[in-house]
Amino acid sequence: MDPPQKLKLKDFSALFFGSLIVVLLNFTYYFLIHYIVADYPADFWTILTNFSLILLIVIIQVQTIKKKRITEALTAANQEKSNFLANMSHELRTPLNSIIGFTELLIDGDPLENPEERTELLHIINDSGQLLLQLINDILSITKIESGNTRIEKREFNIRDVIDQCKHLFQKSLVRQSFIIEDQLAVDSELINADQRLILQVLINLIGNAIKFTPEGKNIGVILSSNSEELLITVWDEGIGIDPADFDRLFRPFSQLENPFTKAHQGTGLGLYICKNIVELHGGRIWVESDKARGTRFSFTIPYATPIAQLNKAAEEFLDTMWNA
Amino acid sequence: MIVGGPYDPYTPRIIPVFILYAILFPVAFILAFKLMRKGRQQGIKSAQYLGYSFLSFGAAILIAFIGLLNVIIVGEFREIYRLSVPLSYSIGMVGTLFLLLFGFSLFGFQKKMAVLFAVWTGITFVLVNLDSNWYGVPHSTYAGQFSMRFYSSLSMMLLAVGIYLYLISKINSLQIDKPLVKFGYKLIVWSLISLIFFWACVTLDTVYINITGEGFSIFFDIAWIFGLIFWVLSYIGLTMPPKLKPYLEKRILHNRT
Repeated sequence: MDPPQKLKLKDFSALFFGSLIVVLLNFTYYFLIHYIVADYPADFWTILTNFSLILLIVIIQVQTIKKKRITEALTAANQEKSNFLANMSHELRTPLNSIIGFTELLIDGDPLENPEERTELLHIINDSGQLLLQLINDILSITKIESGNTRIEKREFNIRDVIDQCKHLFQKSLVRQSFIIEDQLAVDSELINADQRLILQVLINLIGNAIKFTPEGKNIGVILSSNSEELLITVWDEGIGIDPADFDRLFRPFSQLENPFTKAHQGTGLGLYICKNIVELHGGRIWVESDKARGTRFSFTIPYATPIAQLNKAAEEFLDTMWNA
Repeated sequence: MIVGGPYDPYTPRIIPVFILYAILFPVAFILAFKLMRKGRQQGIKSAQYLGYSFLSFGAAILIAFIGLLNVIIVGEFREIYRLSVPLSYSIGMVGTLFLLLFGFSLFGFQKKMAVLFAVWTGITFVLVNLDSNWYGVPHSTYAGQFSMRFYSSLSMMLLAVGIYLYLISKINSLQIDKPLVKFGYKLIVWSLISLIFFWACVTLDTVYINITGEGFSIFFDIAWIFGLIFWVLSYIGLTMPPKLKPYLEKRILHNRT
């Protein structure tokens, strides 16, 4: 969502006109007191009335600005939803068109004529079907995350196991590149309390992207490191790199950068957006560093303890330290 | 501050409160210095804020003590008393703000709450220092005129109670594993509840002043009983005297088994 627009002078009209009325009322009041009711003391009630009036005006002003902000937010959300729907329809239509088109070709054609071409067409249909399925899965993930219905099932697991799982999953795709795991984890810091399925999803997305955008013969890898508070996972590649000007767009839905690799490898443009949401659901951060010459590094953190657990620990330590110091 | 007479005459009703002040301000300073020392030694900011808070409370009680001492010496509620009351309240409010900072440092900063309480403190500060509170002025002098006393007390009470309730809700949401630490936090919660009753009784005393014109009513005595409970509970909860610790540990563990 776009950030709310800056407040303009006209947004404070209620405050201006309200204050003007208070000043005018005051002048009238003092005029009456001094010239009509002589020696009438300016008592506390005058101050209280003025104060109440100003307070009332401020409340009205705050409410007006709040309403404006809500309207802006709703308009922006509506616009975003429309964009999302437009994008989604477009993205759904592309694989569907190829499925329909190629199946029509298969229906109309002679089954015995040119079997190699038939197999190729079937492969294209299968790829389009897979892409469609991935797209629907991604959209479901996003809808769940955005509606707040994603349940994080946290349990303690070893991050090394998940990395091994990823390596195993990508074994077939990794024929062209080398996959290097750099383990800098401190002792006893391999266990994290997170949703293993979702963390795996993030890693699959990032490693999948790294493989996609790295030419043959180059390397990709994962670096595991940590500090006392969080686990840091970096997925790096020696691929084509990303222009820093595109960093902001990367984590937005349906944003695909223009390069020969994106054309060759179809994607939904939702993966990084989902990654960002998953990482943030765990209280972590995700960012990208890239150099056109050297490749790209996507890093994300997962806190070892949730903010609530950290808070409980801090509170416990506070009294414990106070008593034992 | 209203300068010049007539002054309220001395009343022996101030003696119990005077004695209590004499006991409480050294206790407050001892607790404050202990907290500040421990906070500095261990680098715990929250302990330092708590230390400043108790230092402010101690200073507020000391100022109130000086005011009453002056009344006892001169036999009238003179200027020093008139000055001591709003000053004591104002410093007390600063102490309450430090309590809020303690809460923020332990439970995380909340901007909206900070702004709300800062503005509220500003308004209460003005209300408390207005002449129309008629501190130490005989009721007959200002009878028929507007008295701010009730509203300033009410505003102070609401400010303090707001901050205490914020702290209580935050402490209650904690999930502490260590039983004794959990008990320590319980003591702190009860000490804050005592303070809520303290302020309720101070406000009732103000209502009494507005109706009868006489201060230091029974409500003020009850208020300071709650004040005393606050100091005892917070002292135990925050410092846990070494002699009491094994006894409490034994009791709590016994109750759990």
